[in-house]
Amino acid sequence: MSIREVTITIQHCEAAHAVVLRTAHRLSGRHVVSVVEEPDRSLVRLGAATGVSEQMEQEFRTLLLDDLLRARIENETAPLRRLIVEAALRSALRDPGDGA
Amino acid sequence: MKFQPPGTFRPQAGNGYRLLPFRFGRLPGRADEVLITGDSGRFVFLPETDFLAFAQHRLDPDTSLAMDLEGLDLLHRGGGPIPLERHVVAWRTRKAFLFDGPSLHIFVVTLRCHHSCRYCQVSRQAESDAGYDMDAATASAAVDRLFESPARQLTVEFQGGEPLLAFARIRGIVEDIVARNRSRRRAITFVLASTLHGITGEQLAFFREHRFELSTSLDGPAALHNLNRPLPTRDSHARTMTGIAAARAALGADHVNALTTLTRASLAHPEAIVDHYIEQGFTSIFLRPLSPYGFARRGLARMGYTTGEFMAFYRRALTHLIRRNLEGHVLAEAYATLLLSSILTPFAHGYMDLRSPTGAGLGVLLYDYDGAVYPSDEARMLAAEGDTRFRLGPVQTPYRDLMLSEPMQTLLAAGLTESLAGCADCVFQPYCGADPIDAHARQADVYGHRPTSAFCARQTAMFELLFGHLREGDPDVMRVFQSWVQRRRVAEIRDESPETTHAAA
Repeated sequence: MSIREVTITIQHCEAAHAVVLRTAHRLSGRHVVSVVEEPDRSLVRLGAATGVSEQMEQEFRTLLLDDLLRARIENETAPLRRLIVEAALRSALRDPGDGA
Repeated sequence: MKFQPPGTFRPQAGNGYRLLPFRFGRLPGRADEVLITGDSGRFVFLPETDFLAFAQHRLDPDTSLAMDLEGLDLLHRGGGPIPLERHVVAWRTRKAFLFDGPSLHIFVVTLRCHHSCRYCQVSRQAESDAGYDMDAATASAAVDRLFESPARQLTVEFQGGEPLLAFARIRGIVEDIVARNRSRRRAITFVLASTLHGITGEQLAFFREHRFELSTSLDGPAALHNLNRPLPTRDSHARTMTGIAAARAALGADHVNALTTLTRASLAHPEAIVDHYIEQGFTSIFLRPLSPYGFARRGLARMGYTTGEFMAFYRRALTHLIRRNLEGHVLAEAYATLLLSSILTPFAHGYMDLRSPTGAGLGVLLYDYDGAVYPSDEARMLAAEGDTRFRLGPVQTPYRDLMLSEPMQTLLAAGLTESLAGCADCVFQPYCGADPIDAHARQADVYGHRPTSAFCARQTAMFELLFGHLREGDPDVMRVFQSWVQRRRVAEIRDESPETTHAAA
């Protein structure tokens, strides 16, 4: 069985390195994955057995689109999420033993 | 003069609503549809185009879809303040277990056992071996820790080995707890996990007096049960059924439960296992896969199976369970019921293995026969194999120090799905949990690696199976699911359309 490797270049203006890492992590159970950060881009190397490797880049880019959207949603909603959790914990401390 | 269309006078969609925290993902085979789950646990399926319009602020806030999404706490229309208190109450309700402290206290009164089960996950000892019983001083110190826990409702579970071999110790602990509780006034439930083999009238009278819940193991029909749980006399199943009958007669059927553990041999018989539970009059069955601990770890090559094989079994079992419930029988699958309760109600299910923060230590404390305290049964099993990293300390250690111990710091750091890679943005996060001890046992890393985690693979497959049913919305299946969640008979559940199911979630 031979291994095929593809290198995918993602410019930072397309996706932040943290988002690229998140997508690469998703594929790390099925492919050999390495990610390198350069000043203006992320280099993603994916390796898989020939026969399952052909769709790797397309699959990566599809997942990356979702992760870009997730990052945007997270940016928008994280402050509110933090506010809710902090308020919930504060209220629990005010009423010890009163769970819900 | 020509008037502009009404939409011209509405606020721009981009300014018309704010997103509330949510996650999204897709089910297998439904690439054009998106599942959205809010932090409150409410969920909805949307076509891809509607989802993108919603997430990218292109949705008209005056549409019925926008109003529905607001009803599900996924967006907030208009520029007014977000009703923070409602979201705070929803979050606290789902995390109610967090404010209680450890409520499950497990007393391992002996390691001795008369069985030699093929999949045993504890470090059992022979029935006649000395030195494997909890002594009186250890028991007394464990009761000290029990009452230091802040939880108002406590469950005290006796385990082994076979705990009935140390019945005198159980009696002493219960009497100590009852005496101390006259002033402490906690709500206490006693549980015994036992084979029930040879249980005596005296023991049953004691358990009845203290309203025990009895839990035993029943792996299916006699041939399968005897294969999994061998005795020299080859009558393990018959002895179990005799014990169950005696326990039911003494305590009532509602106070006697059974669990099944699935070996490779079990996987070919999902229908037979389900039918056996119905024939024996049980109303719940817990289809548990093997654990990667103790003696079970050594037998995994012979008895183990992949997540795919387990799920193929589970799908057949679930289909059969649904059919049998629709025929009028009452038998819920316990794990599906836990997950569905989390999906379909605002409440936390309380199941220790699926909490975030982790249930280990925060929800459970275990007192071993030798005086060591562990954050879970699995941590004790690892210690029996020589890996003592999760031992919290000796039982004489005050509760506060146990909870501040180094192993607890490790568990807390790795025990939040909200912050774990692969969990934090998972669409099933609101219903799932972190289990750092399991991650360590399987992957030698408390944080775990979700893309190769068998735990994650099974959880994901379970959620995909259940959400697939919820999406299809077959009225009969929905009635069975609701009957399990509401603990009522299927006939008492009225038909609910899929839309209602989603809105109620």
